[in-house]
Amino acid sequence: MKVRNDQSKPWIEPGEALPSRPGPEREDVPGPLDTSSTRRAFLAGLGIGAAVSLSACQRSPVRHALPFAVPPEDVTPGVPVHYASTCQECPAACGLMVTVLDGRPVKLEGHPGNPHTAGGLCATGQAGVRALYDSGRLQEPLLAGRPVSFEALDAHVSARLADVRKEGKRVYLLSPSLGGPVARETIQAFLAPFAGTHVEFDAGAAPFSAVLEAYEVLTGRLLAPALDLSAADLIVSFGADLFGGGPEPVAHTRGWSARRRLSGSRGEPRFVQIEGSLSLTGAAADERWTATSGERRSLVLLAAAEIARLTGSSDVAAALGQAPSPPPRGERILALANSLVEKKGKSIVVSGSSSLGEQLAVALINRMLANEGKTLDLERPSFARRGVDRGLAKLLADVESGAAGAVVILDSDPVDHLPSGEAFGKALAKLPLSVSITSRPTATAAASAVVAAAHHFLERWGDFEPRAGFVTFAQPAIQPLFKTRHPLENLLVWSGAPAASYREHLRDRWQALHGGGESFSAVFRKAVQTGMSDELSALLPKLPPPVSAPDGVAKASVALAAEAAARGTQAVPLEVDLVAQAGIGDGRNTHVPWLRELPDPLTRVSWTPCLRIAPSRAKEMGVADGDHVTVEANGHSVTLPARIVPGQDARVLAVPVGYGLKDGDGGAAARNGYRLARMEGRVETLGLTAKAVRAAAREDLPLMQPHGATEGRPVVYQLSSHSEPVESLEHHKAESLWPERVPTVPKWEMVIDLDLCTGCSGCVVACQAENNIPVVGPDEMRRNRDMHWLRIDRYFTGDEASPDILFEPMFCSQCENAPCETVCPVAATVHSEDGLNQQVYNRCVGTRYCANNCPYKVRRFNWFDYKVAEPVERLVLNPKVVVRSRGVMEKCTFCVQRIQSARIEARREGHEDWHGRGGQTACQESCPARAITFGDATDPDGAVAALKKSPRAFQVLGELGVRPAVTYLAKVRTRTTKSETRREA
Amino acid sequence: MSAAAHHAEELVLGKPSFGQVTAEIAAPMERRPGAFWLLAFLAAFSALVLGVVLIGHTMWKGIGVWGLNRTVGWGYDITNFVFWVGIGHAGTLISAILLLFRQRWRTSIARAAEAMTIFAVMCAALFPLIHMGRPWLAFWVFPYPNTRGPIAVNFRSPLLWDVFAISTYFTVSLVFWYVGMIPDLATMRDRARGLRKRLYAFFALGWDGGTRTWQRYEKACLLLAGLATPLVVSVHTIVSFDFATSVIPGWHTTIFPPYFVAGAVFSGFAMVITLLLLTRKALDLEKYITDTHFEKMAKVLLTTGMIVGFAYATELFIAFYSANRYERFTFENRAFGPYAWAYWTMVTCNVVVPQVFWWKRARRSAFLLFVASCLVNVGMWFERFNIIVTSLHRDYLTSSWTYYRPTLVEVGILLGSFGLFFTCFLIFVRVAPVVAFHEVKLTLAEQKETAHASH
Repeated sequence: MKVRNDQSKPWIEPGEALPSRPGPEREDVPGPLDTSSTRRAFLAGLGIGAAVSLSACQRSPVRHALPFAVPPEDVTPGVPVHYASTCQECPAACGLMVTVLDGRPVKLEGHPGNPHTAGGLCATGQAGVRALYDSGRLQEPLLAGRPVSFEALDAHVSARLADVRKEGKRVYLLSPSLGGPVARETIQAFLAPFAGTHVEFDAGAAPFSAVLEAYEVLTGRLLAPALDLSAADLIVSFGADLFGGGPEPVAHTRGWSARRRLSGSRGEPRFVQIEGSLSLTGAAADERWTATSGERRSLVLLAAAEIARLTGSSDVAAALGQAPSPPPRGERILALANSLVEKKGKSIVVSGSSSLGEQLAVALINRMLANEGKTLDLERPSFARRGVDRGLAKLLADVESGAAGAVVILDSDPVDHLPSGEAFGKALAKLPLSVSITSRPTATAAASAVVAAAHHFLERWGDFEPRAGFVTFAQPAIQPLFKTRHPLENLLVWSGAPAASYREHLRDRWQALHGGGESFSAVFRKAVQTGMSDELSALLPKLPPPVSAPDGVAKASVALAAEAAARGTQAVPLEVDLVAQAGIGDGRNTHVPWLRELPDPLTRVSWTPCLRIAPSRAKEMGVADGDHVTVEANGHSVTLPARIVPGQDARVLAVPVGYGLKDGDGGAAARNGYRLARMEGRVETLGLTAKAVRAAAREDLPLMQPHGATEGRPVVYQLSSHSEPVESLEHHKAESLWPERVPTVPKWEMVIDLDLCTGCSGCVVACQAENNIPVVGPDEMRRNRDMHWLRIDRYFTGDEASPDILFEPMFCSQCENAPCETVCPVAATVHSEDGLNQQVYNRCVGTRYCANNCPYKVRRFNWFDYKVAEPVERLVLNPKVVVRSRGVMEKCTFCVQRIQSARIEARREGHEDWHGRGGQTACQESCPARAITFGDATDPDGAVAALKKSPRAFQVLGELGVRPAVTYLAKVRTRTTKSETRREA
Repeated sequence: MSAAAHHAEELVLGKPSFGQVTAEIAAPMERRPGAFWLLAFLAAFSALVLGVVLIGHTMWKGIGVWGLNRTVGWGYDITNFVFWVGIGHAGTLISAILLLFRQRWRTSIARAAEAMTIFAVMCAALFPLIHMGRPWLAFWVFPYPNTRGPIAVNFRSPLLWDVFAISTYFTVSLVFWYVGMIPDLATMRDRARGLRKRLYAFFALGWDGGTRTWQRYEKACLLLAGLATPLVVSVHTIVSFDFATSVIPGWHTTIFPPYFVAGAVFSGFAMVITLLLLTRKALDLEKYITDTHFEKMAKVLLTTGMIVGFAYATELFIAFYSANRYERFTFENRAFGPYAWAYWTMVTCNVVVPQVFWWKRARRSAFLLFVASCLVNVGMWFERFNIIVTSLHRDYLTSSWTYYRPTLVEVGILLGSFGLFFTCFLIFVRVAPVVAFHEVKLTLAEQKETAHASH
C-alpha cells in the first residue's frame, strides 16, 4: 500500500527549478503523536497548537493565529500530509485517508488501499471533518450537568462502581457494533469484575438483528454473511437498502459497480428491488416494483418454495410448510426464482425485514442456490452489525426494573434512538450510575449523571475489524481540540489500570498478541502508517468454519410456523417505513450543516425531514407538498410536512430517521421518526401499521429541485441494454460561428457513468469540503439559493406509480464555447489553455449575466456574506481554495487546485508525457461507485478517451454547440431476461 | 384650405403675441410653486428617499435582499433598466428625427420630451450599477488604462456594449438638450434679476441673439440632431443584444433589435403623453400643447403598438415554426405558465388598449389618453419582465426551474426610480422653460404667415 505523496507548494511558478524533496519519503510519515519521532511530533504539535488557540477554548486566552516565527523544519506550510485511518461514523469502518494541512485535518478521503471500500467514502464520512470542528461538541466532562475535571469525574465513577459491585447489581455497557480486538477486549476487561454485559445496538432505519439470529438458527452462530456483489450475476432484494441505509453501503456500492463496469454489455449484476418505500437501491435497480411488507413476506416464501421445488430441497420445502396464496406479481417472482436457480452460485438474495421467518427463508434460499462461499462469505462474515436485540431488550428491562446498577453508554444515544427512549431516559437517571461517553450533547447525555466528553474520531486511536480477520487502525490527525478523553481510556481508568494512554494500551495489547520481539515495532508502525495490517490480521484466532447445524432446518421450520401464526394474513391498510436519508443516516451527524443542507437525493428536500407519500395517496388525502401530516404508529406520532414521491407504494408512507433529535435540531422532538419503530423482541422499522391524518399547518419546503420530470427533453437517457446507442442529436447542431479552438494538451474532460451513479451524494459533500462551499441555511434554500457546485439532478420518467429514477450529477461542463465567457463585461470568466472554464473571483463584479446565460444553471452567486463566524468552525476551510466574498460568482473548476498540485508533482518528477495521471477531482475520489472519470481527453490511452467512444455516451445539451467537456454514459436497465419473459407468458 | 383642416394645423392656439408667449411660458418659473407642484414634489422626493434607503440596504446586506435566485439572476433590476432606457427613446425621436423631418408640431413638446430622456436615462443607468454584486468596482467595466496587467474589458460582452451605448446616449442627449436651450436661457437671463440672472447668464454662454449666433446655433442643432438620430436605433438595438446574443430560449431571438426599438418608441411616447398631460394641466399651457399634438402622438402610439403586437405574433409563430422544443416551450410557458398573468397583462396593455386610438375622439380626449398611456407604460414594463423572467425561470434543464418573486425592496427601488425621475422633472419645470420659446415663436410666425396666405 502506498500512501499518496504530498503535493508541492502551489505557488511555485511552472518552469521554476523545484527544490529537492526534503527529509525522508512520506511513506514514513507517522501519526502526529508517534513518540518515535519526537521532533516531528513537536512540530506538528506546534501547528496544531496554533489551531487550538484559534478555537478560543477556555484554557487558552490567545484568540489569533500566530505565524511560525521559526518555520518548522519538516512541516512545509501548504504541503499536505496524509494519514491513513479508519472512518468511525458508522460501524462499517471504511478505510480513511486524512489530509492534514498545516496541522489541521481539512479533507477526508476513502483509503485507496482498503480492499472493501477501495477509496470510496460516503457523504456522512466525508462530513466527519466538519463534525470535528463543530462548536456544539462537548468541550469538557460533566457531572450532574456541571463541568468538572476528569479526576473528579473518575473519583465519582470509581466510587459508584464500587457501590454497585457491593450491591451486586448488574452492569451494562451499551455501544454501537464495535470493531477491533483490542477495543472489545478493553470493554470485556472493564466489565469482567462486575460480570457485566456488553450490549451492541446500531440505530438507524435498517435493523439487522433478524439476520444474525437467522444464521444462529441455521449454523449455531450469530453471524452476518459478507456480501460480495461483484461476484453476483443476479441480486434480488426484498426491501434491503444495500446502497443506502443498510450496513456497509460503500462496500456494497463498490462491489456492485465494479462488476457492473466489467460485465460490459451484459449489464450484470442484474438488480431486482422489491420495496415499499423508494430507496437509493431501488432507484439504481434494473427492475423495481413496490409491495407492502406483508406482500414481500409472501413473495419471499413463495420464492423459497419455488426454489426448493426446482432444486429438489425437500427438507426446506417441508420446513416452509403451506405456501402462501400468491400476492400480486406472484408469477413474476416465480420467473425470478427460475432465473435465480439458473444463476446458482452467482446470485444474492437479501431482505431488509426484521422478521426472523423472512430472514430464515432468505438464508435458506441462498443456501439452496449454493451462494454460500461464493457470493456470501460465512467464513469471514461482516462485523458491521453485531448487535442482537434480545440483549438490548434485557438491558431495557433491567434499567426499567432497577435491576441494573450501572449503565455505561458509549457513542450511542438510545434515549433519542429507541421508540421507548423517553421512558428509558427517565429510568436511566434513577440508576446509581449512568455514564454517557460521547463527543456530542445528546439526549442520552442529558439523561446521564456522568458525561465523559470524548474525542472526536479524528482525535482517536483505535483498531477495527469490519470483516472477520481484517483489521484496520485509526490514528489521530490532530491533537484534541477540547478537554476530552479517548472513550475507551475512560474504561481503562475506571478499571483501575495503571495510568496509560489508550495509544500505549493499544500498542501493548497488540504487542502481547504478536508475542513481542524485535519486529513488532516495525510491524505496528507500518500498520498505523497504512491503516491496516495483514500481519496483525493474521494473528487473530481463526473463526471455526460455520457448519450447518444438524437441526437447523428443523428449527427454522418451528420459527417460521410460530411467526406465521403470530402475524396472521390480514392486509394492513396503511403502513409506515422508517428510512435513512443519504448523509443524515442514523442521525449521529444531523447537526453537521453540510449534511443538513445536502438535499435528499430522492425527495430533493434539504434541512427538513418530510413524510414521503405516493401521488395517489396524497391525492386521496388532499395533501400537497409541505402540508403537515400526522403519522401515528405503535402509540407514538410524528408530524411532518409531506413530500409527494412517485415510486412510493400508495399503501406505504416513509418517515426519515435522524431528525428531531436533541443533538441536531433540538426543538423539533415531534419529528423524531425513531419513535414510530416497533420494539417487541426486535426493533422493527419497516411496514409498521400506521394511521395518517392531515394536520392544519403547512410549510414551504427547502426544495432543491421543485420540478422532477424531464418534460420529454433529451437531457438524460435510459437504455435497455448496454450496447444500445443513445439517440443522436447531431443533426440539431448548428454551424459554429466560432473559430475552431486549437487543440492543446492536456484537455481536461470528465465522464460520468449514470449506470453506476446511485445518487448517494458523497460527491456533493466531497465538493463542499474541498472547495469551501458555504452553507446557506433553510430559508435561503427555500429561495432556491443553494451554493452547491455539484448537484445531483433527479428525474422521474415513466408513470407515477412505478417510475424510473434517473440521477444526473450536474456541475460546470467547462464548455469549449462557453456562453458564460462571452457575456462577462470584465472578463472574469475565461478559458484556460487546458480546457478549463476559469472563474476569477477577484475580478468578478457580480452582474450574474454568466449565470443567466449558462444552459446548465451551475453557476452560484454569493447573495450574502456567507462567512462562518465561529472561529473553530473556520478551521475546516481548505487553505488551497479561496473563500469567496459577497457579490461574487463561483462554480466548479474541476478542482483546479488539485490539477495544479498534480501538475507540479509530475513536472518535478520529470514526466514529459503526463496527461494528468494522478490528478483526481474531489468528487471523483470520493465516489464509491467510481462513476466519475476525469483526465486528459487527448491522452489516447486515457480512460476518458476510451469511455467517450461508448455507444452510451451523450453530452447534455450538446446540440447547443457549447461543446461541454463532460460526457455522460446512459443508464441501463435490463428489465427481464428472455427466459423470464417466456416463462411469464 | 377648409376651416377644419386649418384648425387642425393650428399648433399654437389663441393667436398670442410674442411677448405673451414669453410671459406665459416663463410664468411657472417666475412665480412661487403652487400646491400641486409642492404635493407632487413631496411625493416624488419621498419615493426618491425610499429608493436611496433601499439601495443603501441592498449595498449593505447584499443582492440577497432581492428575490432573485440561482436560476433567475435578473428580475426587477434589468427589467427597470430596459424600461427606463425605452422611455428615453421618444425624447430623442421627437427632438432629433422629427427635427430632421421638419415636423413643426414637435416644437412645443420637444423640450419636455428631451428632459424626459435625460432623466429616464439617469434612472436606467442606475440599475446596471446597483444590480452588481460589487457595485463599488463598477468602474472596472470601463477600458481605462490600469497598472494591473493591464486587465482589459471583454469586448465580446453585450453588457460592455451597453456601457458604451448608454454613456454615449446620455452624453449626446444632454448636449443636445442643453444646446437647444441656450436661446431660451438667454431669454430667462434677460427677464430675471439677482442670483437667478447670474446663473442663467452663466448657462446662456453669452448669447447675444445676433444673426450670426442664430445661424451657428441652427447649424449646431442640426448637427447634433444628425448625431442623435442613429442613437435612437442603436441604443435599444444594443440593449436587445444583451438578450439576443445569449443561448437562453426566449432571449436568443433575431427579431429583438427592431422589436426593442419599436417597443422603446411606443413606451417613450406613452410616457411623453402622460407627462405632458400633467404638465399642460399644471402649468396652464393649453395654448401651446394642444389636442393636435396629442392626436399626433396618439397616432404614433397606435402605429408602434401595432408593430409591437406584430412582433409578439412573430415570436409565437417562429417558436412554432422553428420546431425547437425549448423555444416552443418558452412561449407556451409565457402564455400559459405560472407567469401567464404577466403575459396577458402585457398583451392587453400593449396590443388591445392602443386600438382605442382608431377613434379620433379618443385621440383628443385627455382622459382616455391619460389612462391609455399609463396602461401602455405598465404593459411595456411587463414586456421586459416577461422577456427576462419568464425566459430564465424555466430554461433548458427542468431540474433548475424555479419561480421568482420580487421582494418589497425591489418594488421600493422601482418606486424610488420613479421618485428620481419625477423629482428631476419637477425641478426642471421650475428652472428651465418647459416649452421652447424661440421655437414656438417660429411656429407662431409660420402659422400666421400660412393663415395670411390662405385668405
